[in-house]
Amino acid sequence: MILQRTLGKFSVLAWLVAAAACTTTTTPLQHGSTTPRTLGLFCVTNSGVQLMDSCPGDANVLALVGGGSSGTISLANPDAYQWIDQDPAIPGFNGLRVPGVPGAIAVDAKNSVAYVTLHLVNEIQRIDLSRVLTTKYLARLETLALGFDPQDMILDDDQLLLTDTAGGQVWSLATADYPTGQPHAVQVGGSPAHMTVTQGKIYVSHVHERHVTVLDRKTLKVLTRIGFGPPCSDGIDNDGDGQIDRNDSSCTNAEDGSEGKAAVIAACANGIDDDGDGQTDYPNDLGCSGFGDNDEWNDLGTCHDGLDNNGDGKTDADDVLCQAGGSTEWTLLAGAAQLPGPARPCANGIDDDGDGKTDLDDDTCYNRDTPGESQGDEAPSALITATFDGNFVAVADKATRILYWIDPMLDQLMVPQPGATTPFARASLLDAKQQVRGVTLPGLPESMVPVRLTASLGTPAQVVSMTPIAVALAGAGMVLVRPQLVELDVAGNPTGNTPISIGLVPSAGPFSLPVDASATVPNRPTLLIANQIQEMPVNVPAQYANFGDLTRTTNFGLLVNDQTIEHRTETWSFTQMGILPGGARFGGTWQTVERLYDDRADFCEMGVLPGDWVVTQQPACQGQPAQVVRYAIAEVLPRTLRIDPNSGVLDVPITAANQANWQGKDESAVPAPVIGCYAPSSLKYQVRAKQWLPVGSRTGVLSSRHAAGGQCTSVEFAAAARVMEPQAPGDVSGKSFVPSACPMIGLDANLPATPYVHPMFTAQLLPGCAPQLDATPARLLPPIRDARWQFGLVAGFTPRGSDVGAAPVAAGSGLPLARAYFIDEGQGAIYTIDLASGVRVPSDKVPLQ
Amino acid sequence: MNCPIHDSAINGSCDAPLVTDQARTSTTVAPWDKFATVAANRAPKPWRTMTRSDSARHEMKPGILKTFLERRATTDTSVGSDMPIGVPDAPGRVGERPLTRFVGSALSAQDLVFSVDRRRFVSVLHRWRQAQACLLALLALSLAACNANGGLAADKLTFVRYPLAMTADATAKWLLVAGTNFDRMYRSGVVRVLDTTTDQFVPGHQVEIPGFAGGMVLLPSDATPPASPAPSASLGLVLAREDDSLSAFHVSADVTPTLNCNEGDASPEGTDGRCAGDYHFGAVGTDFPVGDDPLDLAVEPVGQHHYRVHIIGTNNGQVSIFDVDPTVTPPKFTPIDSFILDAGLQTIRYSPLTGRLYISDAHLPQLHNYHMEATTDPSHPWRAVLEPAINLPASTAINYGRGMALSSDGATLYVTWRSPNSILILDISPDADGVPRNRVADMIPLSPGPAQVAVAPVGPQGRDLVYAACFDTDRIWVLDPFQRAFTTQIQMPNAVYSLRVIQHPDQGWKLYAALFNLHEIAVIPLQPGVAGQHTVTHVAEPTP
Repeated sequence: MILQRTLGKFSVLAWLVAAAACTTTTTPLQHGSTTPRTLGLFCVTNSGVQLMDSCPGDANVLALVGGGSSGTISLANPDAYQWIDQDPAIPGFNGLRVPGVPGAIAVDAKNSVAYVTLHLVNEIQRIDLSRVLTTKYLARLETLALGFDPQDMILDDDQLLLTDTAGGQVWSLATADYPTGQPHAVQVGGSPAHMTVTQGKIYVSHVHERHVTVLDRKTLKVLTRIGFGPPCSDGIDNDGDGQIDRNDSSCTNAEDGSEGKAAVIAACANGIDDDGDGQTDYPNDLGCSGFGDNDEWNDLGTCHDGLDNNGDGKTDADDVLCQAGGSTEWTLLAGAAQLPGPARPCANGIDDDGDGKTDLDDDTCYNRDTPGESQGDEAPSALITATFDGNFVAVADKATRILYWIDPMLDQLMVPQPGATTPFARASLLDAKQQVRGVTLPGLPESMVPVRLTASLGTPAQVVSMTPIAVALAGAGMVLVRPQLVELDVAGNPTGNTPISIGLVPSAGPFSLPVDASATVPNRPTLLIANQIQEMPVNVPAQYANFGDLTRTTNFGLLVNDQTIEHRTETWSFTQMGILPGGARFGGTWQTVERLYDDRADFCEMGVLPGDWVVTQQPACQGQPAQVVRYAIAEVLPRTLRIDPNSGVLDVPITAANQANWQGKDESAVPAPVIGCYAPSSLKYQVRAKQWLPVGSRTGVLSSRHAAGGQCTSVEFAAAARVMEPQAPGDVSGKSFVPSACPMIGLDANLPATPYVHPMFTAQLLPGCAPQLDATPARLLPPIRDARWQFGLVAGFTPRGSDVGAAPVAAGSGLPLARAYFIDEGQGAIYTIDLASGVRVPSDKVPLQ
Repeated sequence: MNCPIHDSAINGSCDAPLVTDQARTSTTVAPWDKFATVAANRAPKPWRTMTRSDSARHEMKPGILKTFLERRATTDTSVGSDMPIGVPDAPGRVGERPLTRFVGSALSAQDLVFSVDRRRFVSVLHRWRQAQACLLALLALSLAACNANGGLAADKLTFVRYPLAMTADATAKWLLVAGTNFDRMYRSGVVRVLDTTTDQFVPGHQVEIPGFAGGMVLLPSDATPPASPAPSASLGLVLAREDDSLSAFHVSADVTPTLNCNEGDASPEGTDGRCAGDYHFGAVGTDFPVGDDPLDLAVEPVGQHHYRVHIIGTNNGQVSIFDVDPTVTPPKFTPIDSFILDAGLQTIRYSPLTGRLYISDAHLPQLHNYHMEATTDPSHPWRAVLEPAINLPASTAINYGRGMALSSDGATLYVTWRSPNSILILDISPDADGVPRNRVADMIPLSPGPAQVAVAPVGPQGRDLVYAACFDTDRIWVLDPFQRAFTTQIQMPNAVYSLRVIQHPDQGWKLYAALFNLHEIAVIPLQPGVAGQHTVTHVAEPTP
C-alpha cells in the first residue's frame, strides 16, 4: 500500500513534471533567427566579458539577439558561425525566454550583464553574461517594471537612458539602483525615439518631429533643439518670436525655408486690411489662404480683382454688372457650366476627417490651402548615432530617406552651401536642385551604427583611418557615409591630403575615387499604352517610339553617367505628351482670352514650360459644339498661364488604333476661348507636355522651379526637362521621309540626332515606324498619346555591403572591430560585413540563421 | 526534403509525405494562404483538367484534394474515426503544430524531424507511398461525388464552419459571418447572423452560398439612417471560389435581420439551396465573369445608394468592376470594366480620399493601384486607369502582401507583409495636387504568418490602433502607429485570419476574429476602460 501510495504520489509528481514539460512545448519554439528585432554585441576573452573598446577583435564578439513572438534572447557567435543553444533539453536552437518582446539591448561589460527592454510588459530584464564563458548559458536576473513602453535604451557610463515616445520623456536610472530604484523622468517634448551620446550631451531623435533635442548629459536639461526639416515644419521656434511653424507669419507653407521675416511681406501678413472688408491678414481675413497669400480680395469676387474678367473692356467698378450691385463681372451664357469651384477641405467648414476638428482647428491644416484634413504619414522615425570620433552626429530621416549631419561642437545642422565643396561632396545635381540638406540615401534606412576603417595608401606610414557611419537599407544593402572633414592618419593627425567631405564611401577601397558611380537599370523597362502594360520582346515592336533594344548589357538603351554620384533609386517614366503631375485640374478661370488663372495652382512648381499645352473641354456655347481643344502655352507665371490664342486646335489624341492612319489635318484650328462660356473657377483642364515628359518617382519633374517676384525662376535642367523625338527632314521632292530600316536599328542616318541628356544618363529616342508593305514604303509614325516608358534606375552608387537582407532592423559595431553586424528580420539572420572590402563573411555560407 | 505543400499538390514532384503530414495537422489549415498559393501557381493544374465539368459551379478546388487527403490521413492515423471528418479537434495537436509552420514558412527538414514524432512521420511516409495509386483512384471517385453534391445535406448547424468573411450592418448590432464549407461536408457554405449584443448566432437566420467564400460586403439599400436603432435593409454580396461567382442576398430591416435571395430565384435543382438567377452570377464563361478564384471586393460609393464594386480574382489576376443598384428587386448589376494583373492578388481596398483602389499581391513585392476615369464613350462610360505599381521591400521569398486596412482618416494604408513578416505603413494621403503620395513610411516586424489587419480609433487621445492577425502564431498584435511600436499582443485560442472591427452602439468598439479551424468567432473588447480590453472575452462557438 505504501508502495502504491508512493508510486501514486510519484506518478502525480511525474505527471506534473510532464505537464510542465508539455506546457513548455505548447508555445512555439523560438530561437534567435525567428523574428529578430534587436542586437547587442559584447566581447569575451579568457578573462571574461570585456569592454568593447578593448576587444581584441571580431573573433571575440558574441551577439545577443532579441526577438520571437513571445520573447527570446538568443546568443550567437558570428565568427564561429553558430548559435549557442540555451536549452539542450529541447530540440533545435533555443533562446532564453523572457517575459516580453525585446526592444533594445544595452550591454554593461563592466558588470557582465545586459539590459533588455521588453515591449508589451513594459519592463527591463537584466541578463547575466558572466557564465557565458564557462557554461555558454545566459541567465535571467531581475526585472524592473516601467510605467511606459520604452522605444530605445542606451547605457551611458552607469546610467540607463530610455525614451518614452508616448509621454515625450527621457528616463534615466543608475545601474547601481537597479532593480529597486525608480527611474527619473525629464520632459523633452515631442515623441522621443532614439538616442546617442557625444561631447557631453545626449542627442534625442523623434518619431514625429523633424528635430533633435539636445540634453545635458549630467542634468538631462534640454539645451537646444536642432531642426533638420524645413524650418517652417520642424516643430521649433527658429526665430524666437514665440510662434512655431504654421503659426509663424513668415511661414507660407510647410516647405518654407525660414521663419525669419521675408524681404517682401505679402498682403495677408502685412498688418493692413488691404481689401477694406474689415478683416486683416491671415487667418482673420477669409480671403487669405495663408500668410503667403498676396491677395486679401479673393472673398470679394471679381469686382475687386483688378481684372477685366469678362473681356468687355471694363474692369471692376467700371463694369456695368459691378455698378449694378453685382458681385461678379460674369454674365454666364446659356450652356456654360454653372458649377462653382470645389471648396478647399481646410476652408469648407466641414470636419472632413471626422476627428472633431474643423478646418484651421485641425492641426493637419497648415493653412486654408492645405489639400486635406487627413494627415499623411510624414513621421521621420529618425535614427541617430554619433561617429566613433565623436565629432559628428548623424540623423537618418526614414520618411525622406535623407541622412543629416550635426556638428555637436556647435550644435548646428551642417548645411551644404551652393557652390561649396565642403562640408558636403555635392556631386548630386538632383540633390542640389532640390536643396537637400543632407545625403540622399538609396533606400529606406532601417538601422545604422558608427564604424571605423583603416587603409593603407601604399606604405605603412600612410595608413589612415576614418570613422564613417554604416547605414543598412531595407533590401538595398549597406552604405557607408563618411563625415571626416580632414583625412587623418592612424595617430589621428591630419595627413595633409585633400580634405574629405561628407559623402557616400564608394564600394571599392575606403579612400578610392567613386569609379563605380554608374547608375544601372536592373530590370527591363515597361511600356504602357492606354495604361496597359505591353508584352515586349527584345526588339521593340516597330510602331512604338523607344530608346533602343531591350538588352541588359546596354542598360536597355540608357547610357548611364559614371561621372556623378546620384544617390537616387527611383523610377523614371517618359510619357508622350504627358500630363504634368498636378496638371489635371479643376477650378481655373479664363480671365481673358489668353490668360488662364488658377488661384490654387503653382505652375512654376508644376514645371510648365512655354510650348506645353492646355487641353480643355469646350462647352457647347455660342454656336460652338462641345469639343476638346488645346492651346499652346506662351508664358508661364505662378498662377497664370498665358496662351497663344491663335494656337487652338481640335485635340485628337493619337492612339494605337488611329496611329497608322492619323493625319495632322485631323486637328483643325479652333478660335480663341470664348471666356463667357466658362463659369469662373470651374474650368476643367489638363496641362500637357509638348514632347515626352520625364518624371522621376522621387525627383519629380525636372523643369520644376519656384515662384519669385511674380515670375517663375529659370529652369535648371532645361535640356533634360523634355525628351524630343527626331523630326523627319523635309524632302525636296515633297515625299514623306522614308526610313532606311524599320524597325530602326539605332537612329536612322538621315534623321537628325536629338540626344537626351539627363543628370544620370543620356539616351536617344527613336521614333516608331511602319515597315514597307507591298508598294507602300516604310514611314515614320507619330507617337501614341500617353505612351509611357518606365525605367527603374538603381542609384548611381554601389552599396558597400551588397546584401544585408530585406529588413536589417538592427546593427552592431565596435571601435576595434573590422566588421559590422546586421540583423535581418526577413530571413531571421545575422549578416556579418567586412568593412574594408564590403564583403559578407564567411562569404561561402548563407547568413547565420 | 523541403517542399511546400502546394508544390506537392500541384506538381507531384516533391515528396508526398509532406502532404500527408499536412493533412494530419488538419487543426491548422490556413484559410486561403496555401489555398491561394496553390490556386495562383502557374504550374500545370491537374485538378483543372481532371475535374472541370460543364457546370463551372462544381469545379474542383485544391481544397478538395486537401480535404480528401485529410480524410484519408485521419483514418490512417486513427486520430478519431468517430469524429466528424474535417471537424478539427486536436489529439496530438501540440506535437503536430510545428508541421504547419513547416509547411507555411518553409522551415528546414531538420526542424521538421525535431518537431514531430519521427516514428509517425516515417510511418506515414511509408504508408503514403504504398497507397499513392489507391489514393488517386479514390480521389477520382471523390471528385465525381463532389461534382454532383450528391447526398450532401444542408448545413443546419447553429454556428459557422470554417468562418472567413465577416461584415456588420449599419447599426453594428449584427455581424454576418460566412462559412466556407472548406471540407465540403455539406452541400453549401452559409452566411449566418451573429448578434453582437449577446455575441451568439441567431438560429434560423441564414442563407446558403457556394463554398470557399471570399470577401463579403453589405450595401445599404434603404434610407434608414445608420444611427437608427433598427437595422437598415441592405444587400449582401459574397464571393465564392467554388464556382467563381458572386451571390447577392437581401438583408431585411427587421428587428432581427433575415437573409434571403427571393425564394423564386432559388436554384432550379432545388438541391443546394443557394441563391440563383439574378442573385448569382460571374462564373467563368458567362457574360461577366468575376475572375478565377474571386477573393476580395471593395466598394466605392458613386451616388445615393449606388455603389461600384471592385472584385479581384486571385488565380488569373482579374479585376472586375461593376455598378450595383441595391434598391431594386432583383438588384441591378452593370458591368463597368475589367482588366488583368498577375495571379496572386489578395486584398483590395478603396481610398475615399483620392479614389484610388489598392491591391495587395502575394507574389510580387508591389502594391497595384488604379483609379476610375470617365470616358466620352457612352457605351463604356468609365474605365480603370492603372497607375505604376508601388514598389515594396523584396526578399528572396515569393510571399508578400496579405491584408490591408486604412487608417480612420484614410491617409494611411497598413499592409501585412510576409517577406519579411511585418506591417508596412504606407502614406497614401493626397499631396497638394490631390495625387496620393504612395510611399512606404515604415516597416514594423511581426511574428510569422501575418494575415488580415484592422484599425480602430481606440488609442490614446482617440488615435488609431492597428490590429494584425498572425495565423502561424495564434495571436493578434496591437500596433500603436504613433509610437511605431507594438503595445500589446492578444493571445488567441487558435490560428486567426479574418478580423472585423465594429462600434457597437452600447458596448463600444469590439473586434471579431474568425478562428478558422475551430469554427469559432472570438470576441475582443477594444473600448478603452472596458473590462477585458484586448483579451478574448467570449467565443461564439459550436453548440455541444
